[in-house]
Amino acid sequence: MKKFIAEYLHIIAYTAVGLVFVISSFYLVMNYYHSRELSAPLYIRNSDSNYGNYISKIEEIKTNLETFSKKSNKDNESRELYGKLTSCNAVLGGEGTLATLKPGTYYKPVDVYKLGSKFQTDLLNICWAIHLSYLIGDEAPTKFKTTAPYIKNTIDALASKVEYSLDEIQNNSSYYFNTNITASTIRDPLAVDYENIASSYNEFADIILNLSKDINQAGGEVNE
Amino acid sequence: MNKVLNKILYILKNILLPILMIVTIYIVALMFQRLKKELFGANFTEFISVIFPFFLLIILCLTNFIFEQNNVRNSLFYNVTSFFVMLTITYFCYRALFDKNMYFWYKYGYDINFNYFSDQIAPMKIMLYVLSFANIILMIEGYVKGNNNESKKKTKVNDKKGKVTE
Repeated sequence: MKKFIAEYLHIIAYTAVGLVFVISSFYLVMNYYHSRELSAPLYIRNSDSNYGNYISKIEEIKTNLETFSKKSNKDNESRELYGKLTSCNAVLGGEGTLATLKPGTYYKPVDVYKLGSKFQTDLLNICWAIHLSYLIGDEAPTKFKTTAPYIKNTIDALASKVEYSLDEIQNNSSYYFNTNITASTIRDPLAVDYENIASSYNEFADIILNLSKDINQAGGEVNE
Repeated sequence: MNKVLNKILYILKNILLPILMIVTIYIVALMFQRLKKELFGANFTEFISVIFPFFLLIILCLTNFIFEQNNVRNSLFYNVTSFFVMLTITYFCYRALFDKNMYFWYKYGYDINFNYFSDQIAPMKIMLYVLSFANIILMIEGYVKGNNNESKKKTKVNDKKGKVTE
């Protein structure tokens, strides 16, 4: 009888130990893969199109604004918008934005997060909310009455897109982050998040560029 | 070979266990500080629920050592698994304290990833409680078989006969 009980106790104890062995192995391997996935940084190529396009757009906005400043017969609406666009262009090329990215280097998740965070704090909160949001108000210039809702919708969409990417980067701290090796070969979350954020910078710069073109359509001859 | 491996794992496990308990207390204490929870006040039971499995296992380890529970001490599978669990918890603590690739490491200004660590508390508890359970069962099994103090008895018998044998 003693031998029988001892055998059963042995089986129960070893089953429990086996269960713990499986759980700890599972957690060890999963955590290892999770850390491997996160430690793979994102390489920004020298020929990164998002960066190249963004820089050329900033230059084009600068040229358009310089052209406008040389014009005679500037109306007050365009003059006001010119001032705001000049401030916005300084924000677009400010420290920490896509303009100060260093191509040919590796970026960690936290660096991409900071890039997206800068989009929110500078481009959305300063350039849009402080300088340009008057375009959708009651006192908006007449010629922007039709295009302003479109601009607002685009800005809202960009804000959501960047917010989504930032949330996804924050989720890398959670255990439920994608640790499936097959999925990671199909979809690299950090690369996708970078793409979302960098393309948002470009789309925002497009709006400023179009506005800078708009103010040049009026205002008379250029004084050389 | 097995005996040597068993001995090494047994010692490593017993060294890691109190160290990990201290590291866990450190992380949980800072976690409570961030959440403005009182460690020894209203949230004491919450704090104890994290620490208790470590405490229980330490008590059992001391019992194994003091009362010479050979059935537990000589079980290679138990010692391998215990060491594996300590290794896993070490990795949890290491990542919570030093893995800077996870964004939450930066977020709260403590340079500790509380979010990640709190995700790992449940598996830590499960592993430690089940190990404690297995330890108790192995102790009972030892008593039923009567081989816990086998070596002591053998020595006494040999002393009476005046022989020195292993």
